[in-house]
Parts: sequence; structure tokens; C-alpha cells
Amino acid sequence: MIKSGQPRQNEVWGVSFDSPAAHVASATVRSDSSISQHSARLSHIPAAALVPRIGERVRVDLVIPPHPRGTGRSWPPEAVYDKEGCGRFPLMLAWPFVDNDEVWKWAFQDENHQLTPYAALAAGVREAIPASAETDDNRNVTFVIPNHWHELKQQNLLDALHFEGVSARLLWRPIAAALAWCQRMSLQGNDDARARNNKLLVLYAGLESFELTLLDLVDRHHNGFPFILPGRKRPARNGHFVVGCGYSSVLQHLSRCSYEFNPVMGLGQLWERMWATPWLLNLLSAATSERFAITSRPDIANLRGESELQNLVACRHSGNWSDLIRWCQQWSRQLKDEQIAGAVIVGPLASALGPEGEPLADQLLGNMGCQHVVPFIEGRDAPYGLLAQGAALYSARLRAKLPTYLDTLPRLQTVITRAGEPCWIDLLKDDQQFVEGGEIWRRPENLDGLALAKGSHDLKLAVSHEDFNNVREVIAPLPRAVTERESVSIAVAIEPAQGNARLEVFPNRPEVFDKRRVVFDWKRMTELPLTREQYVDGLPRIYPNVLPRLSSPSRWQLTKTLVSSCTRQLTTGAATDNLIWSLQNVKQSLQQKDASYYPQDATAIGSEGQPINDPQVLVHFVEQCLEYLRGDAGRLNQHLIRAVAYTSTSHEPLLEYLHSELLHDGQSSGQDVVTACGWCFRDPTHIASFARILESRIRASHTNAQVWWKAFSEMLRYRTNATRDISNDQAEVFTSLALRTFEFERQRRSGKLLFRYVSLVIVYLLRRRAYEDAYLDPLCPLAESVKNAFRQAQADVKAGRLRLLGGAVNMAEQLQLMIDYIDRRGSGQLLLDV
Amino acid sequence: MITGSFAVANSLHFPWMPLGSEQHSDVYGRRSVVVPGDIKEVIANVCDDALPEIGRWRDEDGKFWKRFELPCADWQAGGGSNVAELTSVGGNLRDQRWQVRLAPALPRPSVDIPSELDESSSDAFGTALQNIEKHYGFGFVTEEITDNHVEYINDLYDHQWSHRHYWEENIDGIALRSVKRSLSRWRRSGSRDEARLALIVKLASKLPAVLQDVCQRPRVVLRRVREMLSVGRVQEVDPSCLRWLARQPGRSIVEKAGTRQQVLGITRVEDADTPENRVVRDLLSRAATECRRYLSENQRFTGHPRVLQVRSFRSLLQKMSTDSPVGRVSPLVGEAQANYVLQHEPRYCQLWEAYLLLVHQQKQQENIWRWRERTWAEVCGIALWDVMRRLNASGIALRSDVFCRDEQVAGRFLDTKAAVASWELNERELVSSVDIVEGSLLAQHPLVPRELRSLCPDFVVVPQQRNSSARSRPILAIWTLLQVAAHNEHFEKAAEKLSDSLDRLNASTSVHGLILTPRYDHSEMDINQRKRVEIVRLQMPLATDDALTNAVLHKWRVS
Repeated sequence: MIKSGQPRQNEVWGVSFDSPAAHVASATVRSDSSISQHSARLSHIPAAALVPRIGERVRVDLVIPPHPRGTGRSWPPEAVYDKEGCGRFPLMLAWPFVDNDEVWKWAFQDENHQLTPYAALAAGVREAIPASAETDDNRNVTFVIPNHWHELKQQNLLDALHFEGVSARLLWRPIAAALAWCQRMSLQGNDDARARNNKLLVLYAGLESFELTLLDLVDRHHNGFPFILPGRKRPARNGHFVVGCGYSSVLQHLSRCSYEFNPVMGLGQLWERMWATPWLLNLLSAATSERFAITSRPDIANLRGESELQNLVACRHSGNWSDLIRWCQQWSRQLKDEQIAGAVIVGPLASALGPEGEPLADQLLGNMGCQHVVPFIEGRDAPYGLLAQGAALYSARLRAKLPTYLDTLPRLQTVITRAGEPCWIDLLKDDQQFVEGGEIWRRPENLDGLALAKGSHDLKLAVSHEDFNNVREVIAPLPRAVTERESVSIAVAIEPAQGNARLEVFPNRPEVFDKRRVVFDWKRMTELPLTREQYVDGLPRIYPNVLPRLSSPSRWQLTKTLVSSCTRQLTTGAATDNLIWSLQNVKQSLQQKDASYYPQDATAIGSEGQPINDPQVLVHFVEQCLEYLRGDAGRLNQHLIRAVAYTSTSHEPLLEYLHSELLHDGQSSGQDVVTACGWCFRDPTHIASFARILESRIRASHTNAQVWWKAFSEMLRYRTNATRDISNDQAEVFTSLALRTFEFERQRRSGKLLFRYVSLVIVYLLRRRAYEDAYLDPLCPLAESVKNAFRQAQADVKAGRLRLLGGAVNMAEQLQLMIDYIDRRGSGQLLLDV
Repeated sequence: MITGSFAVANSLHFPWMPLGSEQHSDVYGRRSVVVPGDIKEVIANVCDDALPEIGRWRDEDGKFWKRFELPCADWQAGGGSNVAELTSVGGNLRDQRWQVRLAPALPRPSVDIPSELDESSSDAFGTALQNIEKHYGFGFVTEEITDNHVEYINDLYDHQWSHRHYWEENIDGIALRSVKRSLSRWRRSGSRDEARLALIVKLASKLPAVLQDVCQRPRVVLRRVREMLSVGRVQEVDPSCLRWLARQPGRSIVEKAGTRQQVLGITRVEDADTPENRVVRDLLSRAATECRRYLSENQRFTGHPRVLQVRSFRSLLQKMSTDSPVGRVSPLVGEAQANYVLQHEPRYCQLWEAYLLLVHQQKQQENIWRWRERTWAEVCGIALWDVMRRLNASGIALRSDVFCRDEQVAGRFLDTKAAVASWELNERELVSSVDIVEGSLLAQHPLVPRELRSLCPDFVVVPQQRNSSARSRPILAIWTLLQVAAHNEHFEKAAEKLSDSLDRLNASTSVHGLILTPRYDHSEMDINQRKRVEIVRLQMPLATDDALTNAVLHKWRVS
């Protein structure tokens, strides 16, 4: 037992509740940075927190005789164990309670109490260390946590520890084991190249679960001295395996022993024996002998109801030996290529015997294919309390400013808007690179792309964590509402395994916050019922998404034969009429939509110009057509261009040909060329050239404008960067011209194709905002004119004065959506062109 | 009597007495009422809290009943009423009112002795004391019991030690202590050899200077007073003065002023009769009472510095009451209200704080006096723990919690929610473990006979043997009574009835009864035995008395 009293300077503690006998270890850092250690078992009975009744602080019972609360006796009333719960919360049961997000409940007479597992564990840490150490503000206590705990759990525990007045760090369980192992190897002179740049297997053999972790062993030099540091990767999903065969074996033993002692022993008495007497500790300390062994097929139902007995350990999942073996064999596939330098087996069952009387560790390692690895077993090769020792060593090394371990940061992402488009980016490191354990990692560059809306009182940040399916929102409350839209950036810092990342908001203009610091408050985090994708889809946008045409495999199958046939005819030089007929067939087939994709457009070849399969068929066809076009195709010319146009090909020579034709003919370009440009142009410079010619064409004459507007709208809706080389002024000119046509058509009560094309041009030109955010401010006169025109059209639609061609789309809704996009709050896909 | 559709016995004299028992208005006893079980609580007009429930049971016909304990009547110098009005809450008889007769009032010797008596006038004092002792002999013992208990509770509440296994903590008016610490402190409290550090001692050391200053230079107000003034001295008149003047005969002021040449005018005079000075006067009176009480209680430590300090303080109080302007202000009517002066004027602020403490303490004492029977029961409960300690009991019981409130609730400071766990005895041939069950928790214990509930014992001591072959020991049901005359005929009859009731109990284990009462007269027998019930007279201080231990052992050994 660690003696209480005044803490010596540079004395640190490590605490572990990973076995029923809680352990505490202390370490002292001497002036020469050497470290001396002392370890002790903390409790004489399984450590348990007493659920508070009158608001007293949580007390942890460690000694004999126990406090009466929750002992399972029939007297006093607070001792009773029944279906309403119990006033004693064994700390060993806190782990599954954390995993299941549950709280310990106790109804007692007319009282109802509950205790969170975090509060119970924190109280345990407080009781474990000398009272005088609690006031130390220098985080001189380290507490061991499971390897799979995410930041929310870490933060909850750290908050509970803070509430208890304990300033503590958290340390991963495998790292604590590995640190103890590394130190022992070093002391034994085994700190050689064998261990370096290899892997270390750490197996936690607990009563409620088994956890396997593969750590890297990394060679480091510090002040000229070599260190081997364990390096932890993000935990594998199957690494934490709840098997429960430990508890099943214990319960079977308990049931058998109790029956021999008293056949009518009630559940309360079983509870008392398990959690309020030294019985369990004695049983596990004898685990190396044959007094206690893991049973291959636990049969606890023969004497008691199985579920009743499982209530004693708050465990609903009863695994068995074969499950455990199967899990080990699954690991063997992952481990066969690894260079494993050693294995550390820790936990209350580390030195237990398996069903066949062989040591459990040997059997598990054998099934993992690691027979050759020499295991280091807690309870056999080292006294119990290895994890607490590792934790104390970690604290001591930090105190001595020595390297400790290497860690990887969790995958934490947030949404920012880049070029007007919301996207997920990593808040922390996006790869599995190591960072120093025990040190704060800071993001090299602040996170930008965020803005505070005018009048907002707080900044919300959507956060996606790899461990959660749904998106969560954290909030940074602002000192006061911002009067203008303000761009901000966020500084990110996190300490591995020490709870939530610290996110601080920095405005571009520091005076916005009156020199006050604004940080995100994780306690105000709320879970949204949305996945990452759903969240981004639901965000308000300043411009609509492009609406590409998809490739339909079935249509391509039909079209491919026609294209191949046509290519053959072009190659062999068939008669002109035959060629025309063949080209018309190809054109019709390419143009035909696949109705099964409704409401999206899908043709044989999508707007990207790539068929689903056999791209060479298309390439040959386009090349042959181009060859004809470069020669004198005569009557064939317009048929060739049309056929090629509907392929939306990205064939560069053809695109250059079309561009040169467009530049050459200018306003008088033929309908076939204009149509082909609309389907095929994807280069922003080509699109900009087309736009210039379009402007002069529209200004010169309104006749036959529909084909030009159609081509332009297709370029804008298919190509993400279509507006890159169109200036704001140009875009506004097009919007004005399109608006004029829109109004003209509306007054004619014609909602036909031209009406549709100019609408699309207006709304897809908003994508210009990706390059210049100021484009078409919602309050500018032009935007107001457009919105007014759309609103009048809405009224016309509702009054039946205006109807779209086809009429499958709710025109009023689409017009409202277009207004929303102009107002920078659009949400959803435009279906106007469907 | 209750005005309802059911008949309820009015004010039963002893907790075990059944409905319809004979009534006598002059018997002290420990009175209670029995009401149908659907009544949630009963409120009396003579106390602040609802009446404490001391038992609930079903009779042979399956009817559900509850028993509520009644306070004792308040002592009033002119002879007060012994009748209280009760109101039922909940159940079919919601808001029914009825009157009951309370146990006769008992004067508090240190408070209710006429204040003009002083030990300095030894003859008069001695005579008065003898009269009171003659009529209310147990008043002195009772006051000693309640005072010692309050002192013990204060001591327990105020001293908090931290220990790794015996946790102590104060939470929102409740002190959490362990049974082990509570017991050791209780044993120490029985062996006190000096005058205690009571509130009045603290006030006696802190207040004299400021009190003297305030009493001699009290805060005054200028009052406008109409009086006859010489014509030349009139500086101010009001309409009343003018009306008076108009009524006087004469044509000029000189004529109207008459022969004395005086007219009605307004003068301004200093007046100390302000609310804050009335509070100070009340403080003088209350502090004097408390001094007298303290000096009476500590007569055996006459030379102790604290006693000397309090005596000196009392002299000052008497002097200020008679000689200073504050002594002549009107008495305080009703409850004192804080005003600006009391809260913010530096001198008065100190006195106001002292006044509040004193009032609070005196209210506590008044309440405890009203519920002195229950306070005695609490004292006996701790004495029972001590019995177990004397029997070398150990184990889990010592780690049990004690919830100690900073204020009494119906005469009790210790919350019965925190029941003590089993006491493990080393005397295994007798019993191996003992459960001490509070009366309010009888239903919670599986081994307490159901039939015992209607008798409403204060405690039931349940012995258990691990060895099933050992001879079973009787369950002990314990009642406590504070005010029982030594040879009271009614009490003797009631005890006989109790013995018969226990004899008729249909329980697997035999049940014996103990009635614990203080010994007022040294000639009384320690144990007064009947067939099943013994009356055990306990000598103060309880911590040093063996009578209870002997009685318990006697019951177990003989049975």
C-alpha cells in the first residue's frame, strides 16, 4: 500500500483498475533523471464505488470490512441487492458500462440514484493516490484506459477526474504494458536490435473482454541515449473483442462453490461473495494453479438462472472458449507477415490456465501463429500491477522530460466550404503518422474556409469521427453577435489520449472578438441524425451542383454495335447514302435516353464522353469521323458532326477541330457545330470563346437563338469549371440577356425549350461564385430583377398561365429553388432540364 | 374529537397502547394518535413539522393503520392549553380536523424559573427551586439529557476528520459520519470535565464592548411632538396647532396664550424607540435567559473561566436592561425584521448576527423540549450502539453511515434513513451478530415479527446465530419513555398490558420488551421486571452506565 503523507517532489503515480484488485504504482524522478518505482495492490476486496445517497462525494470501498452499502446482505436496507439495483458499483463493471453508454442505477425505498462509470472511475483514482497528492496541479497521476476509447470517453473521464480534484493524464492500456515491458527488457540487457523496428504484441486478458494490440517498436535517441518507444496505430475494429468467457468461468466457479457451501444461497449472497469479500481476488490470484481455470463450455445455468447470474457481472454477452480461439485464428492471418519481437500478456486472466490445463497465454499465442514469440506474462513473469507500473513510468518519464511513446491521432473531419462547395477535410492528421505521446500536437496551418454569418451569436462546426456513424456539431459561442459576414480560421491542437481536441477561432479581423479568445465547447456538442454525405447534401449552397448525364450500360450495348458498324463503313468507304443512314442511326441511338435512370439523364455515353466499356470502339469512331471532317465530307459533314456531338467525346483533336470551326465561322456557325460544342466542350477557354461569340450573336440577332442557349446551358450544367474563364461582367451580361429572353417567353406564356435553357443559364452561371464569391450579390439590382421575374413566373405557373414542356417537374418548386440559389441558400438538385 | 365517519382513539398515552384504551389527562407518557393508513400525514397546529409517523400495520381485519407521535404541551407561566388541533393530509379524510389532548407541559428549569429570581438572592431562589423540583422533578434530568445531546450533536457536526475508510463529509445541512467515529465521540461527551463552549460563551467574549456602546449611545430619531411652549419659543406649528389656537378665547396671540403665555407648538425630541433598538432590547433579554441557563447547567464549574465570563456578561446585561436608554424602549412585537440599520450599520450588524444565532438556538431548544421524548429515544439508540461496542462487537456496523442534521426534525437529529449494519459479536456462544432496527424500518427487516409493528417499539434488537444448532435468543423490542413517574399506576398497568401483548405474539422467536427511562430517583431499582417486559432505569451520563448492557445480556442469558 502506498503510504499517504506529504508527496515528495517529483513523485508520480500510476493507477489501473483493469483487474478487480485495483493497483497503484508510484515512481520518483531523481535529479539525474533516473527513475525508481514502487508498486502495490490497492484493495483487499474488489474496488467498488458507493452510489451517493445524499449528495456526498463518490466513495470507493477498498478494505475489509466493507461499507454496508450494496454488500448484498439483507440488512441494512441500503445493503440489499435486488432487481432495483444495488448501491455498490464495482469498478470492474465500469468498463462495460462505458462501452454501452450506460449509467449504474439504484432504486432504494423512495430514493432513486445513479452513478456514471466515469464518476466511479474518477473517484477510484482519487482514493488510490495519497490525499496530499490531489492538490498537485502538475498532472502527476496517470490512469490506464482501454485502447479503443475515443475522445468523448476520454474527455468525460478527464472531466470527472477534474471534478474529483485529481489532475491526471490518461494512458492507453497496451502502451502502459509496453512501457513496462520495454523497461524490463532494458533492465535485463535485452534492449538490442532484436527489439528495434519490430512489433510488440500486447494482449489484455480481462474478465469481460480480450483486447489485442500490435504496437510498433521505434528506435529513438535522446541526449545520446537509445530508447525503444512503443508506437500505437489507430485501433483495429476487431482488436477489441468482447468475449466474456472470463466472467462465465468465474460465475461457474462461484455457483459451484456457493452450492457446496449453501444450496439455498440467494443472489444477494452471491453478489456479496463476488464483490464485497476477497473471494474474487483470492480466486484470480490462484489462477496459475488448478484451483481456477477457464472453462471451455461454461455451464452456469445448472444451478441458477443464467441471466440472473449474468446480472452479477452486468454482462449480457456470454462468449465461450471456441469464440476466443476463432478470434485468435482470425488474427493469425494478420500477424503472419509481421516481425514480432515479443508479446506482453496482461490482465487478471493473463496467467490463468486454459480448459486443457495449459497456460492460457500459450494457447492463445499458438492459435495466433506466434508460438515462437516468448511471452511476458503478468502474474507469472512479473507481479500483478504491470499496467500501473507502466503508467507510473510514463508519468515519471514525462516529468524527467524523456521520450515516452508514439501515438497516432484520431480521424476527425469537419466541413468547410472551398470555392463555394462544402467538403470534408481532416482536422488532425489524415494519415497514420506518429506524433509524440504526452505532447500537444498543433495543426501546422490554421483551418480556413469558414465564415460567420451576419448576426450570428455562435459558430457551429460539423465534426465527423471515424468511430461514429453520424455527424456531430460543436459550437463556439461568440462574445457578441457579428455585424458583418466575417471570415474566420481555426487553430487546432490535441494531446494524444487526453480528450477532445482544442479548437480556437481566429477572425481575420481581430477586433471582431474584442481580443477575447473563442474556443469550441465540446460539451455543447449535439449528435445530428445525418451521415457525412447526408449532412453535406443538406447544407445551403451558393450555386447548384452540376447535373451530369450518366452513361447507361444497356443503351451502350445497343449503340455499340451501331457505332462499330458505322466505323467499319467509314473505314471501308461505303456509299454516301449508306453512311448517312448509318450515321443517323448512330445519332438517334446516342441521343436516346434511358428512362430507368429517371429523374437523372442517362444516355449510351454520359456527358463525360466515356462509355461504360470498350472505349476503343468510341475512339475509333471519333477518329474516323474526324478524318472525314478534315477532308471534304460534303453532304456527310453535318451528319458526322451531329453523330460525334452526341458522344460528348473528350477526344482532343476533335475538340480543337470544333473550336477552330467555331472561331472561323463565328456568329454564323452552323447549328450542328454549335450543338457539338455544347455537348463536347469542357475546356474553360473553349467555353469562354463560345460565350464571347454567343454574346455577339445574341446581340446581333434573336433568330435561331435557341440552339445557342441550349449549347451554352449544356456546357454550364455538365462542366464543373465551365465558368472559370468567364468574367463576372460577362456572366452578368449573359444573365441580363437570358433574363430578357426569359421575360419575353413568360409574357408569351411559353414555358418551352427556350424558356428552360435561359433559366438554366441564369442559375448555372451562379457557379461563377466558386471563383468570385461576390458574383451576383443577392441584393444587387440584377439579382432582384431575376428573382422578381422568377417570382412572377411562379405566380403564372400557379395560375396556370405558364406550363413547362413535358410538365413532369414541379415548375413552381424549381423556380423557388433557383431563387434560393441566387439568395445563397439553395439546397437540393435542380431538375429543370429533366 | 375528529368529525368524520371513523372513530379514532384520542391521544393514546403510550406507543404500544391499542385503539380505545382508557385515557387520563394528567398522565405524562408518550402520546400518539392512530389514524387510517391512507392518511399521508398529520399536521398539528402546535409545531412546525408534520407529526412523525412511528408505526404502520394491518390489524386482524386487514385494515391499514398508522400511528403518529404527538409533541408535549408547551409550558406557559399562566397555565397554557394542553389541546392541539390536528389536520389530516391525504386519504379519504383529507383536511379533516380534530383536537387531541397532549401530554402535560413541563417547565424548563433554567428558562421557566421566574427571571427575577437569582442565585444572589439565595433564599428566594432556593425556595422556588425546591417547589419546582417537587412538582417537576424530572425536568432537571430531562434538561440535562437534551442539553447534553444537543452538545454532542453540535460536536459531531462541527468536527470533521478525513480518513481513508471512515469518511466524514458535510453536505447541505447534513453531516455524514461513521458509526465508529460517532460512538467514540459520544463516549467522550459523557466524560466532560469542563464547562462547554456554548454559543453564549462566544457571545460573552465578543459582544460586551459593542453592546455597551449601543446601549449607552443608541441610534435615535428626531420626533415631532406637540406641546405647550412659551410664546417666544414656538418655532414651528402645524394645522392642529393652528386649530387649537383658533379655539382659544382672545383676539391676539397674547390673549390666546393666557396667563401662562403658552401656546401649542411643535418641538423635536430624540427618541430611541426604534425597531433596531427593540431588537437590541430583545437581545438583552434572550442573552440574559441563556446566561442563566448556562450558569445553572454549569453549577459544578463555578470557577471555570467560561462560567466567570458568562456571569460577568449577565451582570452587564442586567445593567444595560435597567440603566440604559435601550432598556426603556418598547418590547419587540412579533418576529424581528431586518432593516437597513441592522444589516449595514457596523455596531448593530454585529448585534443582529448574534441575535439571529441566539433566536435560532432558542427555537431549537424550544422544539427539542416539545419533542423531548423523541430526543430521548435518539439518545437511547446511540446507547444501544454503545452496548454493542461493550460486547466487543465489530465489523461492518462500524463503517455504517450516520446522517446527522444540523437542525432537529421532531426532536431527532439523526436521520433514520442511514440504518446501521449488523454488529458482529465475538461472544459467539451467545449470539454471533445483532441487528438494531429503528422503529420506522421494522417492515424492512425480514426477521422482525409482523405482529410487533402495531406495538410501535422504538428499536428492535434482532440477534442471529450462524450456528443453527445454537440456542435461539429472544428478539428485544425496546421502548423509550422520558417522563414516567416512578410509581405511576397507569404506567404500571400499561406495562402489564405490553407484557401480555408480547406474550401473545405469534412469532417463531420469542420477543421480550425493554422500556428505557432515565433514573430520576436513586432509590429506584435499576430493573423492574415483569413477565416479558423490564423497565430499565438509566443513570446519566449514559456513556458510563452499565444498566442497559446488563439488561440486554440478562435477557439473552436468562431466556
